[in-house]
Amino acid sequence: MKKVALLILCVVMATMGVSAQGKISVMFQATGAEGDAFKALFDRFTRDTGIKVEPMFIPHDVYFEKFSAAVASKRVADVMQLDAPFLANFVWNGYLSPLSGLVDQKVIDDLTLSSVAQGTYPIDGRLYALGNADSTVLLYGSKKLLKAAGVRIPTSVKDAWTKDEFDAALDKLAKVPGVKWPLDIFRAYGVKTEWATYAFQPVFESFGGKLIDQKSWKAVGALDSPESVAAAAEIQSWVKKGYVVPASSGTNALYRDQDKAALAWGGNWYWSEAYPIMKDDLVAIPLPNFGKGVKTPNGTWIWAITKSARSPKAAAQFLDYLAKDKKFVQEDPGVFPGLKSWAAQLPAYTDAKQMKVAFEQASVAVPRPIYPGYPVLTASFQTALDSILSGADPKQELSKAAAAIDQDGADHDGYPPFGN
Amino acid sequence: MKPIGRGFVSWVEVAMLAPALVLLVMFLVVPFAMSIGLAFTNQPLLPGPIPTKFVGLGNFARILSSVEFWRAMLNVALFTLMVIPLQCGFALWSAILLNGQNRAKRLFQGLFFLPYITPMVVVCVVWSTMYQYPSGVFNSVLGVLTFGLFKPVEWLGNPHTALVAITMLSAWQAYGFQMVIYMAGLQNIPTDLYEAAAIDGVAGWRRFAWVTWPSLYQTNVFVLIITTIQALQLFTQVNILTQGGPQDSTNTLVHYIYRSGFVIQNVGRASAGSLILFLLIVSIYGVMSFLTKNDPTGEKP
Repeated sequence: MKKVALLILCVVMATMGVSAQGKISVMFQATGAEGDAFKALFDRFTRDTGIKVEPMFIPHDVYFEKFSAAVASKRVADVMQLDAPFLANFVWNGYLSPLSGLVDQKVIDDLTLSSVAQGTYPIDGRLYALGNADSTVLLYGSKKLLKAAGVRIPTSVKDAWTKDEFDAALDKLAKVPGVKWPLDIFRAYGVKTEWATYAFQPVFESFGGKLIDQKSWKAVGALDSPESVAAAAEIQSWVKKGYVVPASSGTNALYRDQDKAALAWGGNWYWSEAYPIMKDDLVAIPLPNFGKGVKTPNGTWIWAITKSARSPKAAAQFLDYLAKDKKFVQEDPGVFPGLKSWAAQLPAYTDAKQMKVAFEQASVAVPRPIYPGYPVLTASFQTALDSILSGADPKQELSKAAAAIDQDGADHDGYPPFGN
Repeated sequence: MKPIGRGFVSWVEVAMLAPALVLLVMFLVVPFAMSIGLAFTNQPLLPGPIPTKFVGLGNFARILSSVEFWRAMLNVALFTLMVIPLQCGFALWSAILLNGQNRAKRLFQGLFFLPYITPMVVVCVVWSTMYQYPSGVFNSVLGVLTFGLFKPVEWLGNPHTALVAITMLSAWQAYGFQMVIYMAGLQNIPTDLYEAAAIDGVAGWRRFAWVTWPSLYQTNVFVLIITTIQALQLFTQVNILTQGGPQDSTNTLVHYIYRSGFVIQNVGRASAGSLILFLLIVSIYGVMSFLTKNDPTGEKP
């Protein structure tokens, strides 16, 4: 009896051991076509390497909260996506493993500079996450409507609109028949999502303001500085004048037939949504220069290996495969390359008539603050911006947000060694 | 059965109660006790490099001095004051209308109860479409009915109308529950009261005011207490539709607690908030019970 029990135990343990080697769980977020591209990728990976993939899908606007629940219940995946600015928080809390030694060095060398910057933890300078894609935000316009308004169309970052030109353009576009709202800033993406910080930090930077002082890691004095307040007031003025598409009016205002918008302040992924419908009428325009130069955002969902991964080698194999996979690049619409080898494969980004401006903007990208307190920073900024867009006083709201951010820093003793 | 202990309870009864009691203790009592303990610490949601420490009444002080918390209190008070007449009033009206056992009435009772069994999430999504600006259902219909005098309103985006919009939605979804309670209350009114009223020539509105309403005293007390407690815990609609905005006009106590725990990641502060909410509900219940313990109609419950 004992021998049989022992034998059964051995078999069970052996199978457990085997399955731990041959399986990885992947935590990710994706929408629509991107989700299908991921599913196909997982299937190809399993077919080529024999390692099974257990996908854990989380919607991206509750990603951080769901990830917290996963950590609390000890169900963290082996491989996970994370939104780039949250990297400092995850590394500071000890959830991620450095990639060197695990991921193929050739893949690491292939990363663009922006990608490397996103995945590096500044304290120890090690790479913790692989950014195979990147992103940017730019202005999309309808050539027809811009011509009807008599507005100049910039062709590169160097001759982007100035603040006055941009304001004048909005005024002119408001008078063009057929234009319901001159500008769509995608309020329909949601009241409090990462979009707010991502798309509008560049406006603050271009005015000369910033979200947080990156030496003292204090927000009071930076987020509520006169330049930041001016930036917020400028964004508020667009809404106050009735130029902005309201939140309940959807995200297709640029290319639909009724209630149109003339310009859209959108992410690079919007190109693949709008281009099939607008074709040659669609033009990519760099973000305006509000005084201190054109500033653009970067950062996207990057890949990391968690400290609790049962088989870091299998996880690293997945990342290698993801970086080298040619099919994924083609299937994922609107992807913006973070690997040098990918950029060469995407003609849209070298075509001046298409998205060349978008790729050019990568050289003036300002990353969101790499700070462990980023979750509270972004939540406070989103709340402030939401209130400002619905008419609250910019200085008051930004001061409230700055106080909340510094309070969180103090609660964590300044996130040593950042705030010391 | 051989009774155990003082002879009140037998083994069979204990065995029958045990599964429910175990679950109750595990999922209600234990977390509640833990929450009381955590309220005095600065426990973060996720374990991090800084050890948790005891902060005494620090969390409570921070919450009670926070503008956001008091705004949430105000919002919840306003919501309660608006939703009780709307929801309970409509529930009582439908209960009186549909009180009866014939087929037609039974059918409509079922139909009127449908909103209550629709998940709140679904209701929120559908109503958010109806609240669309500028051409959602509400804006269009009101525009047509007033011959264009009514200008479209951004219901969920305007700080003055957002809470009202959520109130209407909540009243519509949840009135079924109060309606059922009122129907039970109405059926408990002895018919000889109505016969006496008929003999005295009292009918219609006066019959409602002088016979029906006073006889519903106990039911009203129950409905008032239940609805207040539910209203104080408003969360789902806010979380889906407005996330506390615009400009904090729809922030509620539970939403504040949720933000403290899951967004700001401070479980200590969230636990302190939960404790405050619990004490608030208990004291409101106590005050209401005291104020209503003497039934003026002399009816025994």
